[in-house]
Amino acid sequence: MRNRWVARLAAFVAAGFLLANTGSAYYYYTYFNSTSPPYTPIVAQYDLSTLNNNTVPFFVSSAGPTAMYPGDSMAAMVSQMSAAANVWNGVSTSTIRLAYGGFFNPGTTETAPGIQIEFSDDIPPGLLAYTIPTVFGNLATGPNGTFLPIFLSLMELPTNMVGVFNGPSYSEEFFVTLVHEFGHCMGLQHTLASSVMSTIITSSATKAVPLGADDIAGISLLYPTAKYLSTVGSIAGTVTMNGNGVNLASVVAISPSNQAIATLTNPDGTYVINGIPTGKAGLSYYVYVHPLPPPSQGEGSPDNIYYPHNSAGVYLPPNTGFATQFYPNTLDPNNQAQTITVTAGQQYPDAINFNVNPVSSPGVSSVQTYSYFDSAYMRTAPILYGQSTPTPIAAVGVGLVQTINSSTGATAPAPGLSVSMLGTAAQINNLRAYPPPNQTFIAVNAMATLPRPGPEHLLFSTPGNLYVLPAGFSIVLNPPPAISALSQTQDGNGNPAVQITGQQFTANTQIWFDGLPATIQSQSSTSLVVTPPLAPAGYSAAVVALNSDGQSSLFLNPSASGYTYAPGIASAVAANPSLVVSPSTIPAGGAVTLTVQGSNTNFVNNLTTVGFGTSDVQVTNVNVQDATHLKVTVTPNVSISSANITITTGLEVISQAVGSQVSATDPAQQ
Amino acid sequence: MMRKLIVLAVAAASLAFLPDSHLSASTLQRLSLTDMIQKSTMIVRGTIQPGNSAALRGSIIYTHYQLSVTTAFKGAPGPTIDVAVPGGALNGFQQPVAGAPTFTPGQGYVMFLWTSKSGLTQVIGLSQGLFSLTTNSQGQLTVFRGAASEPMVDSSGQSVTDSNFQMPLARLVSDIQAVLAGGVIQ
Repeated sequence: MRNRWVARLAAFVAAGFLLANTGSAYYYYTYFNSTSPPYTPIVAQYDLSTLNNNTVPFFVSSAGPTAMYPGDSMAAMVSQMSAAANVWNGVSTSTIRLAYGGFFNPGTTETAPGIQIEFSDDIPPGLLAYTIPTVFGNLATGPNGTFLPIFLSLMELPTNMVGVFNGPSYSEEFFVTLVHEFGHCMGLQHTLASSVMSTIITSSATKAVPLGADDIAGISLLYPTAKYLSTVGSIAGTVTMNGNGVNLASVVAISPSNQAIATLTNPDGTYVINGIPTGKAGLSYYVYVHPLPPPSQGEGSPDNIYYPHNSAGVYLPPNTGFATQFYPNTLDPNNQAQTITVTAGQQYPDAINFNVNPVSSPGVSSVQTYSYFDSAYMRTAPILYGQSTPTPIAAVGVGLVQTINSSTGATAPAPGLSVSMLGTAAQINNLRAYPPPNQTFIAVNAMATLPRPGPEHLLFSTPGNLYVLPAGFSIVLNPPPAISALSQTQDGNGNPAVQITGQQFTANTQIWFDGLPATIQSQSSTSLVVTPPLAPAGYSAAVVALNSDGQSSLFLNPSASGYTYAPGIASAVAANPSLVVSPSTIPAGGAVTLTVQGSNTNFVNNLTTVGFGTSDVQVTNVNVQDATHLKVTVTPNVSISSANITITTGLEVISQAVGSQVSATDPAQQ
Repeated sequence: MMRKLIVLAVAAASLAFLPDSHLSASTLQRLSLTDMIQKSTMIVRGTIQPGNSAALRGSIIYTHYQLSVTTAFKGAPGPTIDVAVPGGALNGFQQPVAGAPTFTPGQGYVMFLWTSKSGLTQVIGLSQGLFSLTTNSQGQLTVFRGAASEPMVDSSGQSVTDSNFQMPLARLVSDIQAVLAGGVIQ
């Protein structure tokens, strides 16, 4: 494998840029094919024309993690990975899709695009995961211009999962991290819009609502559907300081009732914010510019952004020494900022330009917030509308406090600091610092004044500067859902089902058994009757309730309820399945249909998936004959010395080696 | 297909130089000082020697630096430690990893190091376990790192972990000793 990689990488280095494109810079992996203006960004992305049904297969190392939380399993983990991939698949304005392609044997190399998820023991504590998209140097040209094709993305997860994430594979943190890393795999970089592609410091993503408007815009602009650009609007302009363009300034469109959409400026300060939701009649936004924050602990660059570079190979670092500014040239968005009305399919006719002011201090940055509810601190800081007492919101970040007693370490809010919000959906007051040993925290009280559920944006004002935290807290109309008990029951047709007792269940509540949703049969605010997804007898699943306001039953109780599929109870299928695949040798060239005969299997049409752990064996069709027979059509493009066939039905994952059964098909390789 | 791709790449060789072929992004989990003391396998004071080397490990490049150890606060290292940093340059190509630590030869550091089961020694938490040594205005040796850690707090503002990011070396050493002895940081 090593020699193959070296050869491949050396080839990349020898390559270069061929053509220009017309795309706008966003927060992608960006290159410029010149060293001077005009800067035309070229971004890294998958070449959909090389993919089957625009689908990037992802493969999971068969080695698996060496340690997992008690009760966790590889099948459960894979189901969460598939669910995280499905989050991106649910973006209707994007054409790219992700699909689980089975387990791969460590050392497998790919000649077709794909994603490999590995469990590495080289990931040190303090690093949850990282992703390395690998790109070819030869450019491709697609309908949206020239781009740099991503060939293989490596997602590295720790081999010892215990204690790394704040819980098993069903945890909020693991799931949101997976969604985030899949975003990197497809070509998205970090953003500062508090969406899932933000760093973990400011991310407001949750398992129930992982994607923000910025994520949707980001992926949709990279892989747009035919009509996407006609449904969104854009704002363009230039950011300058002392007459010079500002590189990598973050320009954000935001409003009290809309989530933030952000982009980064080109080296000459030009920018285009595209993908702005407009509604049918147009929507109004404020626009502001702010610098990338200083690197936080453990970060090697501001926001851990991978800098763009130009055709000379020079990396282009950000200009960060300026103050935030709302358009037009104000630090008071609520009273002095001008709204920009964006309409579908159009760019706002006037350039929204900024001439920013230099500052010597970076001010407030990288703030993380929590709200306190029912004896628990919660990320994303939800506050409940209709409460008679305010909800504390705690915040930690750079520039929030000053030390007032060096011997005790006691702090006070930073000089001149005030905290407010964009709009009037809540009252924010009583700013104070926490006593030691939590003196780096400040807190404010928040009380919702409007029954408008959704994210709200916090403003941290200091003399001459302003820090905006999009989605700094959220207003919710109900507490988080809670699950108190599971029991066997029957649905309205007399079929075995599971009754879930708890609180705050709504018509939009989803119940997940590990990474798969159950079918809701009936619902009240305190009880749900569900049909669980299929799983083999003896399988234990974690059961989690997810509400459409972003809250889950893990908010108040990070330990999920467990459900064991005992033989004969709801959705339990036979254990110990096995497979026989024929023919044992795949003839060379073209599509091949394999017959799979199972024992103790439960194949279901449109539910059962088949993968071979490599992008070199593309699965083009799966036809289930009955519970124990299916036919799978594949188009292998190189010889495979060994592979696994992985068949997934619900939470049942069957994987076994097919070894030499998949063999040479490409005469050129022989 | 593989052969075709390589041919295409070589055909473009006379055009502009592409300095890197891998792009990285990471998800960090902030570590408290107590976390780092407990989870590191070695805690040492030392200086980085000039020069480095790069090697491919799997499909990822690591750059290796030699750390001359002057004091070990945890673990029993030899006089030098091979410290690996993900990313680097090899055979004319680069593989930068965002967030990876950078060293200045001759600069004094306190490093919280972690050795994987397969023997790779890295700074814990990408850059989180890297503290620069400086002398403050009172002549005290001080350790410094960029920003605070991320403790959670309870309703009364009490709990969890410390958030020190700059302190006298002597204080850091006493904190290390306290945690290793099973105590807590005061």
